[in-house]
Amino acid sequence: MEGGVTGDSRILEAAAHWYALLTSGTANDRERARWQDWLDANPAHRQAWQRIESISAQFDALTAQPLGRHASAAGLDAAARGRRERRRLLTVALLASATGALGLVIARSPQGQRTLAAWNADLVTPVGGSHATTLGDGTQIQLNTDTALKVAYTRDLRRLILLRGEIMVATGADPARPFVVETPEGRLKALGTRFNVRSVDGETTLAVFEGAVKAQFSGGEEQGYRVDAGMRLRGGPHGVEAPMTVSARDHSWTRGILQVEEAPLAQVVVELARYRRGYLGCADDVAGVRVTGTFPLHDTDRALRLLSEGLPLRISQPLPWWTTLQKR
Amino acid sequence: MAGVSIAGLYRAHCDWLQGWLNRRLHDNHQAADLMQDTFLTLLARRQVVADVRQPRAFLSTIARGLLIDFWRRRDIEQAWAEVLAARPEVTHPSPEVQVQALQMLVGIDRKLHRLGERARSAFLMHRIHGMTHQAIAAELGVSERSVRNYIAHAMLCFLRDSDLEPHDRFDEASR
Repeated sequence: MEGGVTGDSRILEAAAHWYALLTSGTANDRERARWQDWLDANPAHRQAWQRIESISAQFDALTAQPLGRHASAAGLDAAARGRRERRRLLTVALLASATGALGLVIARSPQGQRTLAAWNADLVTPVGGSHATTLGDGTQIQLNTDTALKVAYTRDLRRLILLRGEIMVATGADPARPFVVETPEGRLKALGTRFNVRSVDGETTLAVFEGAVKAQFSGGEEQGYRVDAGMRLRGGPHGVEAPMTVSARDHSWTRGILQVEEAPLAQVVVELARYRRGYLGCADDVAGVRVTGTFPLHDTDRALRLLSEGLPLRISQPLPWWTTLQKR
Repeated sequence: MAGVSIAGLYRAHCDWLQGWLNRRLHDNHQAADLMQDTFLTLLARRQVVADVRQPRAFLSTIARGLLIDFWRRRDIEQAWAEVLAARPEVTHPSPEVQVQALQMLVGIDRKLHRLGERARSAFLMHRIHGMTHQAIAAELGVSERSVRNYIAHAMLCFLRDSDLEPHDRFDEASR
């Protein structure tokens, strides 16, 4: 006779597996007969099955009401999103307090423009947001989607710490104080005026538009690399890639668009996903489709529609937070 | 004995706890409510608290669980209200039904929150949207066998904790 915690736990597991099999639509008569045998074998089995039925009944009650399906899905989606968002903000706050920030300024307004009153403040943009600001020395910074930045200016050094995301920097003139940007993967010292830094997925990508930047990466040469205007360099803990010329993608985001030329769809989807809550992916059989065009970054629904109109794709969105591009 | 300890805890730390909550909620009334709830939860647990060596860590663990539940409820209620607001009133469920449904959703989310995104999505596609395993597999880009495992796993979360009161609050809070 089964009993105790492990016995109960095994019965529940068996019940859950029977449930999954019987709702799969592929169970055959023999399997149904085996389920019946299992049910009859032990009153505890029947009890576990009754619990499954009452759980199912709860869901049926939810979806049977008018609007129930839609409102329930939206509610559960909001709870999961809220949780993710708060966890992320908490992580940022913890990172910031570890580096000694005084406070958190959350830049929620999509195109909010303001001058930072305090030197030691953190800027955070939500997914899909962007924020432009001018620091006291005249340096202009634009933050892209999902970005966390700490401003740590001292008397001798102008220092930005990019915790996550992407910034475009146009440095103000101050010959006495060097200007550096630190990312988890490296340290960039500005020798000129305008450059873009992106720290996403454990790699830092630097693109220089005016002047030059000296870059050091955690996995690169100690003396660093000089990157001149027109060049981009990507590096991280695993090393540094060969330098390439800058592309439209390195700056088109500052105008709120994604500009691509002959890029694989999978790459475009990864890029758009940065601006969008929830999951965005594409099916394997369309991942290699080449995409050329211009897409709005702050209306990813529209960007997806444009993609699906111009290419043999269809948008599949069974749940509000789950979107994939499939072959049409 | 335990009651004395709780009263002592309350006197010594209620202001601190309310401040701790207010920093997270930015709403002093709400913070006061949750502070009271924290001590009520303690009373309801009838646990001997005389031996608590780090009372503030102990209190904030309980308070964090309540906070997570408060946010969960608020997120669900707001999204629900938005969906209804977009439709004519005649199509709305009755208020009693809505209260019940919201309670159920809170309970469901409590049980599903630890599942991975795919398992959670698979289960909701199955139960809320009534999709077949085959359609779910196509959607997630996984095999039907994986879908079956996701659904079994999610159902197990419900079976292991099928009453509506959350025991998992405290596990969740200490993560």
